[in-house]
Amino acid sequence: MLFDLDNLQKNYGHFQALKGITLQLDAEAVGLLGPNGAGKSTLIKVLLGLLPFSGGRAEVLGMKVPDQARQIRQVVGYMPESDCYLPYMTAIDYVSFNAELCGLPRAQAFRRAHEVLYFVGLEEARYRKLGGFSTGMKQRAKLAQAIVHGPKLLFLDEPTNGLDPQGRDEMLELIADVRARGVHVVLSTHLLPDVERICESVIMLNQGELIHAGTIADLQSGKDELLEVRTHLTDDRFREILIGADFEIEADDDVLKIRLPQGKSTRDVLSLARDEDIQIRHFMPERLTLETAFLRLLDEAKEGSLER
Amino acid sequence: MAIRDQSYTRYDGPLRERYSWAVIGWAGFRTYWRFWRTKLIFFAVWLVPLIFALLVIAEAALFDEAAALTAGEGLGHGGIRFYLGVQIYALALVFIANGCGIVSDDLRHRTVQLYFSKPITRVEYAAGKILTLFLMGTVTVLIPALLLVGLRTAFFLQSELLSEALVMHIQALGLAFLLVALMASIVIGLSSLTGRTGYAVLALLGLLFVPLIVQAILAIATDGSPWARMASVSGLFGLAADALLGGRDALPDEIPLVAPFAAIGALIAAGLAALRWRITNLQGIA
Repeated sequence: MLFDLDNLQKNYGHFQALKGITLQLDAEAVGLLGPNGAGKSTLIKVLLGLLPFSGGRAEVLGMKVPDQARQIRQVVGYMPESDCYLPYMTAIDYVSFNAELCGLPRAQAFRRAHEVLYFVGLEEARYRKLGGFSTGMKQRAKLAQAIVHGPKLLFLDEPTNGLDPQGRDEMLELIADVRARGVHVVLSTHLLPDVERICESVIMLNQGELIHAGTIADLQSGKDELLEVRTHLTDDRFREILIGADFEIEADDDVLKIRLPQGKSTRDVLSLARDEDIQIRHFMPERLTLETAFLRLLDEAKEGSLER
Repeated sequence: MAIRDQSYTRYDGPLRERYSWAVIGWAGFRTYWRFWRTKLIFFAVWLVPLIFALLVIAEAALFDEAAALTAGEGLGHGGIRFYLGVQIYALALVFIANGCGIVSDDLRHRTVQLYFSKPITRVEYAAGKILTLFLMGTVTVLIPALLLVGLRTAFFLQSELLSEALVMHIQALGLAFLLVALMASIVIGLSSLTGRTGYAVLALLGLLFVPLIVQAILAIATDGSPWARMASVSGLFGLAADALLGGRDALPDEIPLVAPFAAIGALIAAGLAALRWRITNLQGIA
């Protein structure tokens, strides 16, 4: 089991950063999603044993937090969001030092540092000081220190932050390669396409509460299909016809977003238009992406909290 | 687009579970050692022991004449006291160049969160940082002191003052150790209180030089009371050197024998307490 959390809570004074997270998840790659302040970084730090939690129980890879925090950190790699290096250290020193901190003997640490710096594409720059690195090179150096000791689980906090499209693509390629070698990956990011590319499961948080934990496929299935339709009409006639036929409609300027409930199909929409002699000028089924699913879950969570 | 032609390979070799503090300590020293300024400053501060080594050689050459002049008075400790007094400022120079950022750099560059995501405890981190400063202090003070003591003891080998010199030199080494511990604790304490290395440097300069002015004012105001010497680090250390090397007789009557050692102990404890406070209050940082 990758994560086994039971009512996990973390308070900063009176502020509840994690409000009783309960989940059991066993996945190879998990996306950790949520808006700013959702508790993603706090959750990572709690699971690493960096922050004490206020209540509940947590296990990572079958090891208890915080009792076995040291063992957990030995098999976990962490790539923080912020720059966390001394600018006057060279890349090779930085990575080999982190390897030694994880317990590698000095000679092995040095050899291994060369290997991973080569892997992330910094072989030419390994004797240069980190302070002179570009954003992309810094991100790669941070990834190198996280994987140098051969972790079983990798926490990546915004690994593509500040990267240009090519740098982002390269970083995701590296992560995918690491994942393909049997390393569990937890990817915390705002960029949902990154999650879709790397992960098969997601944990979604909002204001410290869990709003979803499971596979992306689960998230996308079982949801009502969406259609985008535009007609030649300038008034609300077609909208009223659809509402009368039990369709749920969201209007967005002249585009109607139609949610198809169970038992209804796109054909029914077209039949209604034909029967009413309405000309359809734009007709596009909307794919339920992770982004739309995420936004929908956030809306539901907001509505839920307003009702409470 | 591929940026490499090698896939990721996992490390599955042995992992050590101890001595992280030694790794941190040694890595810190090694990093500082690589700077040109460190090498230049070490060269500069080693000029002092070099001069003292020449004086020791001169003392040996003139030993018979000196013995006749000071017959019956035994060995004086003024030279050792003066040497260690100078070393306070040599250590300060070394720590100003490298050392004041020992913790503050970690706070500023947020490397603490990386340290604590590794299998190390906060105590190991603290011990590693202290070790780095101690290694710097060892190169600045302890190694030269050891060489000087060895040289001077060698000159006393054929002398009837050998045992007296040996005891004094062991005490001098003890004082050198105490000096390194004192300065390392002060520096690590100041560095723990801020994320700006510049502030730690200013605080160290202030702690060394402002009390000297206070000491002078107190001495004038109290008609030269020996308690005024307790106001500065150098005065305090001078009193401790007098107490250890010269015994009760070398200290002014008004000052209890334990007073300078208690004050030095309090300074060391304050520095370590600041470090402890920092590593137990990292919420929002790590």
